[in-house]
Amino acid sequence: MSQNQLDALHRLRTIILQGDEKRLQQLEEQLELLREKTDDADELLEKLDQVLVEALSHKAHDSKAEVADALAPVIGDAIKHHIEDAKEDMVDALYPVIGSTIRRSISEAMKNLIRSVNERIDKALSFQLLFRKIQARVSGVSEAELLLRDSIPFNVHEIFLIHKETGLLLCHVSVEKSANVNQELISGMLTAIRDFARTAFTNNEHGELSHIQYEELDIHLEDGKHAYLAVVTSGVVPTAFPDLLKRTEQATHKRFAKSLRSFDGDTSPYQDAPCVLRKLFSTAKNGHESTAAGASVTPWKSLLLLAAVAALVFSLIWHFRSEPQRETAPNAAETMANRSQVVKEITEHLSARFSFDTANIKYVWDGGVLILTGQVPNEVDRLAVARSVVEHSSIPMVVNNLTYEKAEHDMPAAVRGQIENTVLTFERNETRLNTTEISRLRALIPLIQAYPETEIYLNGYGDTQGNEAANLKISKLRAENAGSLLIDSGVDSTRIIILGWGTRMPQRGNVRNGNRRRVEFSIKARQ
Amino acid sequence: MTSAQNGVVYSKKICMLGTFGVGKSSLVKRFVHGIFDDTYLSTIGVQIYEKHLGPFPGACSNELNLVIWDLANIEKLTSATKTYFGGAAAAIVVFDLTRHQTFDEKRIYLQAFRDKNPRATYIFATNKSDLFATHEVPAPLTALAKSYAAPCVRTSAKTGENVARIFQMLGESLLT
Repeated sequence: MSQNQLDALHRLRTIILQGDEKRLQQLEEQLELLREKTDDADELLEKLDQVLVEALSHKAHDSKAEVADALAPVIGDAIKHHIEDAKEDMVDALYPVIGSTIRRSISEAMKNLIRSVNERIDKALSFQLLFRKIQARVSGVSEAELLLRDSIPFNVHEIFLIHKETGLLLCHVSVEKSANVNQELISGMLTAIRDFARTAFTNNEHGELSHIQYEELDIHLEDGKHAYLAVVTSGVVPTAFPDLLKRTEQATHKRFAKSLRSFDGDTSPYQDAPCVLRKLFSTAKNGHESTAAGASVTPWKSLLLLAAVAALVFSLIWHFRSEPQRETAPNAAETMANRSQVVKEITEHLSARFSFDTANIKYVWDGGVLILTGQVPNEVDRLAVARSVVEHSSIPMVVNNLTYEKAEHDMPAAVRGQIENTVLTFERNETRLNTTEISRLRALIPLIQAYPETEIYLNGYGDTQGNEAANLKISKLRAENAGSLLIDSGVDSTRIIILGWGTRMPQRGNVRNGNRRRVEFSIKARQ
Repeated sequence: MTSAQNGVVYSKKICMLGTFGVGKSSLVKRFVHGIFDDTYLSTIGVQIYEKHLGPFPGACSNELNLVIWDLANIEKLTSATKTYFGGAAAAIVVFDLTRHQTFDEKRIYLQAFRDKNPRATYIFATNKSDLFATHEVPAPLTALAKSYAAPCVRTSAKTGENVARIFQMLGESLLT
């Protein structure tokens, strides 16, 4: 090609590609600009931030529920972590909200109380006010306290008569139709708490817990020689109530003295006890009268007594909450703070104790609970590892989620042989297993349960005496009885196949001590 | 025991005795609630359960209300623990055959229990039978059971083997 031709071609190319070259140059410049922007992380974040906020806002507008579902787990975990890492900060942050809520709640309760007092004053006739003044002067109780008793009425909710030594419930009466159904458990636990308080706070066996306070309820415990009363009340206790409680306890002991002395678990003698106990309910209705008649304690003394009881209850609660932790988890707070150290110690302990590779065991914390996961060789090791962790670590609660690989489809020949070589024998005309044969059958249960993907055939046989129909029936009954024992012991019933063979010869010719009256086993893989 | 008529319900307190980890709580939960709870919870003091049993043909009562005290930390044998023993009509003593070393500890609190309840009835439960193919009770345990006139029954809270049976046995012996 000549020079002229080359020049012409160049001019032609310039004319044709001029626009494209310009666009290409612009694109390269824009690309460079974009690269600079993406390399600048701050600028990129600023741009993305705007986009994300807009996208989130748009999505929230369309479906708040979807956004909430997507964010809830993240927010939950974040709050949880933040609480763990900075408890004090969280308390400071929440205090204005919670503190305000509590203040509002208390304020509301006080307003209701004041409203109730005012209503009673407004509704009362003048001679009633005069009567109250006289009543207050005579009884030594302030007029304000009498008004308070009116505003927070005293109610007896439930009465338990409980045998002192055994903690068994003798009688229970309640004003509510839907009384607590766990009365026997309540009686037992109250007795246990009394026993514990007696041994924890006194050096002799004569001191007794007399009062427990739970939220707005009070439980008054009146001790007697053989039994004690537990009375659940609410409201301000009339000053005469303790006297009445004591009198009721004495009346109960007097009336049931004989049966209480020789109590052996029979609760039928106490069917009349409600008649005695129900008198306590009347104090709720006649609180003022009882107060006026029996008042001998000044308001200040009442308050001091109340404070002392509250202090006792508080110290008891504190003791219950703190003492067990000292006994079972001496360093609970430290354990929480040093979980990795605890896990490290456990890992070393398990590694030293067990021959298999304990590195497969994983430790997951859920609050103060340690969850063990991973695989161990077998069930024995599974239980032994968990027990070892509990004994070694003093962690209050350990959940055992360890697993082991079961060779469910491959029953070893030795196990199969042990089961199939077992022959259960019977006496003549007998279809039930004797104790020896029951023991031999029970010995097979763990082996059978270890391989749930197998079916166990129980083959019953009879001897040659008698007719074939009767022998067939007896042989099947023998197999059924053996199968029932397996099922009762927890073997899946769908794995048990019962067969009655009558007098027919055994498949394997296996006759034990010449006895044809027997049950044999055969095993097949489950279909 | 007083002569009782049909329809009368007796209540009896029984205690679950055994060292930590032998499966006392698991046995009771299996019996009362029908579940196997594979969780180790270091219960403090006592947990109380209730279960109605019956009928008991021929016994002095048709029904029995068992109040079961599941005691924890009894190997420490504190004064509180001894107090909890009070008034018990029977005890189920639970053993873990994988831990023979605990047999001697049992002698101590069993004696304390017997001191509190001289006429109590006992059943020895060799628990975790699901882990053993055979039921071979060690000689020291057999001797201990004999001295308390207690039958030895193999149990498994996991499979439920004999769990209901030991409570039924106990109920029958308490009402006859």
